[in-house]
Amino acid sequence: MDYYKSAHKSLSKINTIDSTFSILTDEIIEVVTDSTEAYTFRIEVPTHAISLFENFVIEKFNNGTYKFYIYRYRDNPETTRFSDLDEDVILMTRELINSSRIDLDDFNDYIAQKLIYDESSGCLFSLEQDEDCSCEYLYVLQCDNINPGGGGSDGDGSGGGSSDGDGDSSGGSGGGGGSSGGGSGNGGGSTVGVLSSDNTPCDKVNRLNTNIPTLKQELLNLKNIVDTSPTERGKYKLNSTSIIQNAPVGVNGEVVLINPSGNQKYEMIAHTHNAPAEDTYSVFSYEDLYALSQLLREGKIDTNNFVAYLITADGTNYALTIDNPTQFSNTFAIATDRAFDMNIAVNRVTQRTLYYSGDEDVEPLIKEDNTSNTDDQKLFLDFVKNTNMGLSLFEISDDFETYKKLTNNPFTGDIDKTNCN
Amino acid sequence: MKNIIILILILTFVSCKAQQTVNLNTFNQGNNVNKYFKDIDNHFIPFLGTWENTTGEITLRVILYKTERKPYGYPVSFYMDRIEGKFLIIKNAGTILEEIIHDSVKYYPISGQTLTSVILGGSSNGISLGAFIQDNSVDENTIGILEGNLTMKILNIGNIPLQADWKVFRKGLSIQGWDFNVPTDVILTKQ
Repeated sequence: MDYYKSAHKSLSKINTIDSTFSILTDEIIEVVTDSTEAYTFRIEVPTHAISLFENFVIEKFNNGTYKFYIYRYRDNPETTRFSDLDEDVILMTRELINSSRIDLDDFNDYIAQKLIYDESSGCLFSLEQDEDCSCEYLYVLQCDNINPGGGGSDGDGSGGGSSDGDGDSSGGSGGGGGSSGGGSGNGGGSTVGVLSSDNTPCDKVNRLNTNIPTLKQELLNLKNIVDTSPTERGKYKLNSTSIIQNAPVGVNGEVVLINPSGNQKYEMIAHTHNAPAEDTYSVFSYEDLYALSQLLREGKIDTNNFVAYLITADGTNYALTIDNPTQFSNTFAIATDRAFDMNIAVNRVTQRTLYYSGDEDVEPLIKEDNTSNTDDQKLFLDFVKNTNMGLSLFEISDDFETYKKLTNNPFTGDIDKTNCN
Repeated sequence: MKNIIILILILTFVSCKAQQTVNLNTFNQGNNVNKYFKDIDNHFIPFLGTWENTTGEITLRVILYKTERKPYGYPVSFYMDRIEGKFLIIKNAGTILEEIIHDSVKYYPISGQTLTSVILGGSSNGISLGAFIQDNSVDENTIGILEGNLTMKILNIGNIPLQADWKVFRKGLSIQGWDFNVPTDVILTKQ
């Protein structure tokens, strides 16, 4: 197994031909067996809402043919069998990708070039052919901070992932702290490495809490006024400053978000839905999401770090992250946008009619006077999923100490809650 | 092969027979799939036609029409009767100096789309209309199109001409400086 990591800090990526997902090329795991070579790349944003993280794998066979896969890794909701073990259990599935969606030439630099990692010296070398002298040169690329990841281990066919039906196996999942890991196995089929995500939605909420020591108190302050303030309240933080500021309030009592100038971007927006409880949404409103999408369209949201918070008179506290900025932006694209897609627009209008309406003649599913916060929660997750917005929702405890990522489980119909802390 | 053909014929028959016409007010009560939500009680009628408000030299002209069996979803999941509409902002309407400042029916080369309808909604009682509005009279270079909610409440049902309270608003976060250009609170008179 070989592990390559770019010396560059910024993320380089390759888009699929149909632009449905982006493949990061800064870290690659190569696993070679007698019959295959498998190259594992990180997928920038999971293609499926339930995925914790996803990898793109190029499998090269001895006969010169290639196959392309998306490997999806997600929590296993049925961990009872392993409840006595202090370890995470994740499930893996894979999808074969049609070769028409991938331009193999884009990957030539990564899978044709031979890189060698020498564990004893900690150095990464490139091996390049010189046809003039029919010889090979070994170049030292870097020797600092090349960490092949703590989670990788030589697998035995099971590793940290799980086998799929055709004998495929994945080696140990991502190393701790968001670095990469890799492994190999002999499960009878192809063997691939695993690169875990280094910026999961949970990472974002945890990081923001760490980076802004006053955040918890600011959110508690908002919670204290949802039952008494005659107008909604808002707080925000830009990436250009370390302080949390108060958002203006509009003439109708709504929170107004400033349009930051220059390169300033929002890292955090928090707002309230105030009393009376029977007259306010317990979840984000359609217009809340619309306003966030417009800021994103203007390049005013730092999506790598951004978290939106909502505190309501219904007693709910939520956080929301934008996991796929392209999907979120495209969902709300309008006719003046190059990205406008009529099918996406038709679906958005349909889902809006179903879940939020605004029309006098039809009852939406999400209503201000709904009494079950759990039902609203589930409906909101359905709305986000059906519109393919690429968002994650978190439930926050009343003391703002605990964050749980919420996912609609398609198998049980229940909401899975995964602790972030 | 014969069995497969029979199965396909049965499925086609079931598919053709599946769509069911129901009253609009039963929307979201149970499964919406394959239903046609129809304005059986003709609540849309009072709203259909041309409405105007003139403030100073500026006239807002709103034209509402009924779209029957509008498909929803991609692929289509259900159908509804809807009120759709467009608007014009006119300077010195009805005079020789008349000038159309804005027509919401507009072609956008960047997306290749022509926006024909910017109002989409309905009414369950013939008095109040609730709708979704796209204000494309805002600055195209900065905002593009601003979306919001619209209500029209008829103030003098049964009288001629009908008058309605027109309100455009948002129910949530908004962005500073991103305001509607279309009038947000005026009385419209049916023409």
